[in-house]
Amino acid sequence: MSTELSPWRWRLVLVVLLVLMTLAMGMWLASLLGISKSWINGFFLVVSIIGYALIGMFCRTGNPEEYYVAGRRVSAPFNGMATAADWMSAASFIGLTGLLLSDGFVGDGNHAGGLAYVLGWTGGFCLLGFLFAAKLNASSAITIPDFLAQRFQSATVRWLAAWGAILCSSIYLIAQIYGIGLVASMLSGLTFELGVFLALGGILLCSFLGGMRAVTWTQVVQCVVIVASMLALGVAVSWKTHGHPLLPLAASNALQYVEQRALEIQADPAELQTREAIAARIRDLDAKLATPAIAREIDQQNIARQIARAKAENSPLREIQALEANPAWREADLDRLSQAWLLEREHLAKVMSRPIGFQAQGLSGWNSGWMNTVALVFCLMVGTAALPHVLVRSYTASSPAQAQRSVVWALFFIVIVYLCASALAVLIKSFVLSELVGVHLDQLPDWADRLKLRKLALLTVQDHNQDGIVQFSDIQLFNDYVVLALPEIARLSPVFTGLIAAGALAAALSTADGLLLTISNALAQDLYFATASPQASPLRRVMLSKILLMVVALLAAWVVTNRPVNILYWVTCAFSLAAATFFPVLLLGLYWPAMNRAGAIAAMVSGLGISFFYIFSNHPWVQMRLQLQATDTLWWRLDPTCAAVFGVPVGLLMGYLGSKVWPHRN
Amino acid sequence: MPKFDPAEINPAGLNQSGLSRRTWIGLILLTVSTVGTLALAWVWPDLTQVHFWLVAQALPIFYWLLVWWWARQPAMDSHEH
Repeated sequence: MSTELSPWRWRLVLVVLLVLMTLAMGMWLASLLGISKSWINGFFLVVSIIGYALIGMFCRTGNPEEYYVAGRRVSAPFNGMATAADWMSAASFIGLTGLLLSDGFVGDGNHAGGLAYVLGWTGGFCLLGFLFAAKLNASSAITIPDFLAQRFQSATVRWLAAWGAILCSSIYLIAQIYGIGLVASMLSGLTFELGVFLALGGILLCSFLGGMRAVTWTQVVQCVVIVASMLALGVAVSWKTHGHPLLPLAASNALQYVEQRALEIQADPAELQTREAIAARIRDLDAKLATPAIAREIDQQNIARQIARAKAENSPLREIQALEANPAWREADLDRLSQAWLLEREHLAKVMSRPIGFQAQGLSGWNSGWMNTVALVFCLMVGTAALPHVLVRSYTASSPAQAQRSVVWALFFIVIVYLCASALAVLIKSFVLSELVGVHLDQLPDWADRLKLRKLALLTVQDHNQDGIVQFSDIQLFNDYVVLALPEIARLSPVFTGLIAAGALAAALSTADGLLLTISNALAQDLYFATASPQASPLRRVMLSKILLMVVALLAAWVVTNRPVNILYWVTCAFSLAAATFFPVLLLGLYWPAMNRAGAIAAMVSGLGISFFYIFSNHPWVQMRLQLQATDTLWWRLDPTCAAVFGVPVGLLMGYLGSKVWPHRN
Repeated sequence: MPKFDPAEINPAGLNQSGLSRRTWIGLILLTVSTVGTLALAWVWPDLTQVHFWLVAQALPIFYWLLVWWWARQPAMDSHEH
């Protein structure tokens, strides 16, 4: 099988870059001619989805080898590009900047900061390359459960691995589709629900028709869009703010300003007064949560008096509506009212702990933040190396050597995006501190007013100390998506908003494509055909995979349109679950000849079980239902997202013990 | 203890040789560089410029160099398709 780089494929990459540049130039001219931003954004959305769908249709296939593993002939650079796009999700492409912005570099002393994500998500590719990529490619399996079933000659191992892959990938998929809905609705102006289903059409056209072959080539194009859009935005912002295109240098200069300004703000009496007002509100909410029924009664009486007075004084309708929007007035159910107060309390506590610069005040010593950071880096690294939809990319490479090199290519593109993301976080912070903090509420910059008034508000300002001036603690940015607003904040052409949103859409779509394939293949190939119908024809296998893919996609879309999702939280949980389920069994299965079926089952069940229990028992909903306190359920004060810290060692130990105790079970 | 025949217990056709020397070096460098730079950030929490340049910018590049250096070793050629 040829491993040479076909010239036409490189030409495809060049063509994509040229088309992207031409489109951007065309849209720039259109913006100069007065075409509205919503048209420009909508154009990028529609062209992206049509482009990806066309690639899907062009690469359609009914051949199982092509459908499941792209014919096993993808060369290292392209497999690396596809892996990078597969891996860079909405959370990592746009969420990382927001995370660094809100949590700072090393966190607040209790939780991990943004640097843990940068290191975990990049270092994981070293583990993937060192330990798994080449060896998995050599196995000639189709899916990870298929490989484990071959290695341990066990249908039970296949069944367990398939359900493990479905669980991890489903959690990840729901977070991705939520991200797609937000970006699509932001670009198009449609409602969130319509945005989800519009983007879902694009995903389905790619993965439904062509399986892994179509997804691979779509992801190659998406990788170009992701990297090019991030680089273009980075260079443009750097040029606009510092007069040169070197983004890290611009960020370093801005960081000096941020540090100096943060010191000024920390000492500002107005900021201290705002923090005191927030602390008072937190104490008030604590008292209400202690006796919610009495608190609701008192609140309702107060609000009724205020509404009566407002009506008597002919106050504006908006003022009366604001009073009526108070949860104590609106919510009839006491549980829901308590939940609303709890959410407000959590939000305010987060505002208080948020660093003004990139470093929390008075942070020193080896505290639980250090433990959480190291634990999170471990979980993200091991999780990256064990995510089924990333591991399956090892099978699409044409040889073990190509699989090995494709990891190098993948990390190359991922590192480019992450270097830009951390630098952009610094630049956004400098804009916020220089243009928002200390400004009168009536004199906010244009971009702030626009971000406040959006259907999906990326900025809210609440004047806690009622002095009419914006303090740092009054500002709330929608951190998950704030990078999409950077072109407006930096007063760049709206073309850059369309471009970065196209990159975000590409990131979310590419990951969703890979996850959907992993789930549907696990359902069809590993759960149905390998156990219930092993003699099924190849065509029937592919058809069932396609049908299941569509069902899973629609189910995931239905879930996200019904409830809000904390993207980063669930993505991190998926990493922990994947790490605990697959890392021990793969490591021992690949490197320890004595590892057997009993060990594999013990490793997967114990690893997944303990991690799932830790995440579940620390979920706020469970804690509220069971009247638990976080102090009762947290082990060594580690966040639930770090569950793999317990799951991976337990899985390794149980895999070893299982193989030793039942040595003949193979 | 029973004796294991890798060919018999390894139907996936894998070469189950242990970790190569280069892989061990890579794993050690990955661990030391990660924990070391994070510890540095913790010892001097106020040096945000160091955090930015060393941890957010240089370390991901180091990871890439590490995996590039590791991938230069010959892969499992006997298993090439």
